Amino acid sequence: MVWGRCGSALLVASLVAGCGGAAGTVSPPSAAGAGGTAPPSSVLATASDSRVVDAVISDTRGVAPTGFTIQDRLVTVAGRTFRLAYQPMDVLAAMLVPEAVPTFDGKTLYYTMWEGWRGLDGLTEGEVGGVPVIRRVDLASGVDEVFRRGAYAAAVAEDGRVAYVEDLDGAYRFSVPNPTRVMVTSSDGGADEVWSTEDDIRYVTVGWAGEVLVAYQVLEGEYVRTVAFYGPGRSRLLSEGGMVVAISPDGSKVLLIEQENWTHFVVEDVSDGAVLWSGELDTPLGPVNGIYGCDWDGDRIVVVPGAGDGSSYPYVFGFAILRFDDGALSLERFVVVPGETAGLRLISLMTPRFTTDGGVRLQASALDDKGKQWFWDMVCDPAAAACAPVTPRRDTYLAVAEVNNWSGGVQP
Amino acid sequence: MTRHAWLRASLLVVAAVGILVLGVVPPALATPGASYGNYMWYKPGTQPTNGTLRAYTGYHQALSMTAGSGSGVNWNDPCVPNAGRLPDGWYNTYNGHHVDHKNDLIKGRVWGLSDKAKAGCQTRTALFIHTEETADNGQYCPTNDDDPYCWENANDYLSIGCVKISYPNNGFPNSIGSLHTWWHGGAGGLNSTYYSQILWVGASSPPL
Repeated sequence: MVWGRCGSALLVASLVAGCGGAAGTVSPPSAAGAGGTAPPSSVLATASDSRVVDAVISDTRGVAPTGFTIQDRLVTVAGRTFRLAYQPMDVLAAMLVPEAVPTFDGKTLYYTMWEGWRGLDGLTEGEVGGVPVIRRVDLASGVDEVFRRGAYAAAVAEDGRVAYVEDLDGAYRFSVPNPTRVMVTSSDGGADEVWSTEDDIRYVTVGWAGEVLVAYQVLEGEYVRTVAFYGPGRSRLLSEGGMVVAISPDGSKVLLIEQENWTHFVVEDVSDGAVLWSGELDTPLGPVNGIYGCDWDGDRIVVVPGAGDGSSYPYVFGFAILRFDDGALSLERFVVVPGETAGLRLISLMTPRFTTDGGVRLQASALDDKGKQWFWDMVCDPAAAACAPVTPRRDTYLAVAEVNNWSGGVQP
Repeated sequence: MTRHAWLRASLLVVAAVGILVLGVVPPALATPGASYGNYMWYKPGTQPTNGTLRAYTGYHQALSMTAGSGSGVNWNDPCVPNAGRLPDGWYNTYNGHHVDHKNDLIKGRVWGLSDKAKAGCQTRTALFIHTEETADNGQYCPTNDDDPYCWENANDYLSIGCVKISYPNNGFPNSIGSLHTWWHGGAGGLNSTYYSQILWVGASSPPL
């Protein structure tokens, strides 16, 4: 197959088979101090303004993300906005897994926050740096209460069970191992069961693949192993060094990427660990690069952060739309996001999510000319190869709610 | 008084008299840490594989070597765990320096580093300065692919959450050996010992 590059460096370029994609412009992340073309006026709200959420929903191109949390404790679930008691944050697992997760019926939200967190400056080895707490929100009544203390990384199963990890001494301690154990509630929220058997490993619960719980073992140097739990004390290694790009909506498969080779994708059957497909996906810019925390909807998967063979950095930033069909993973489209725009130099793309109308929402981070790091969200239309910011620039990552498994549109 | 105690007391008296009579003060033993001028500085490069690690003895540069931090994706974002480079700032040792580390993944000569979090981002944990070698400081290269305890090429500077320096294999310099010698020599570092502010990460030199 012959590939052609569509668009210039200043455009969001869409690469498809036969170069059929159109090219469009990308707006800068914020009008404030960024220069360039201003984003739609509907997104020119401050981060502390509740209108931000409305602005997202009423984005001029009609993109309506199905679920996510946002700054200043505002969360949107299935089109409704709620204010949480605390800003979701997870000091130990943010980015790896969502900090806020709704249930499948859309009635409840679980999120992680930290008590006593003051940052790490001034702490000595072994000193308590904070206590993770999972909170549960009844989205009908607004009741926001402690679900489990000393715990983080909630993952909700379709039958209502909640998996999480529990710090073995109940708190994070600075610069020492902080082992956890994997816990699972019953569907009625009653007795919790311990599913892991080791007491010297830090686990992070990733998500449910049907009846199977997927989790990371986090080892030295941030190296991870991905394991599948089938019940208390029953687990299987899914991948040595592989991280979870996405779990299929039916829970039967998991897409993994090798931590030390971000171009090598593997699709595994969760029930037995069998490899269904493995390999690279080529674009004219080099193979697709993937990272954990992406999205799988139907047979399509959206993957960030770009493409390139690793011979030069930064490579080309962008997102890929993949398709898993007939036992094979293929590339449907690769959309380039300019590495430099509006005076900012892009340094990462993370947590892409399909929106209900086929768009893609993702988090971007960039450096300004003084080296300050900025974050914002953008929504892209893969077909038009156009992206627009939907949040103002800010200086922290946002918590992102998981939408993979419930984007069917349950209305609370 | 035992014979050893008598000898020790006599030596202390002689040393004290020498200091009083000659005005000679024995030199302070070197110890790692910014406040002693014995520290390392990792300056990120333009790529994850071309940073620079410098080592200082008494505030004077003693070593400079190529080092890497960050992986093949999102490498320059310290907020991205398991992929981005180390966040800027000072690092203490965590559980100290080891010669024959062999816990579960990283082996050989290592410097454990304290946890670090850029404001608003996830905490980076279980960080090290290390190379790719076996627990007994050798090489294990059983395949033609990237073996974890074998320094094959410049891609081995890539790191998912550490600072990596080269092993003298395939024409690469003995950076791990040089740093190890500096640590126990000019820096005065011991094994398995906690020290404060032994590594600075940043584009600019550390605030001293």
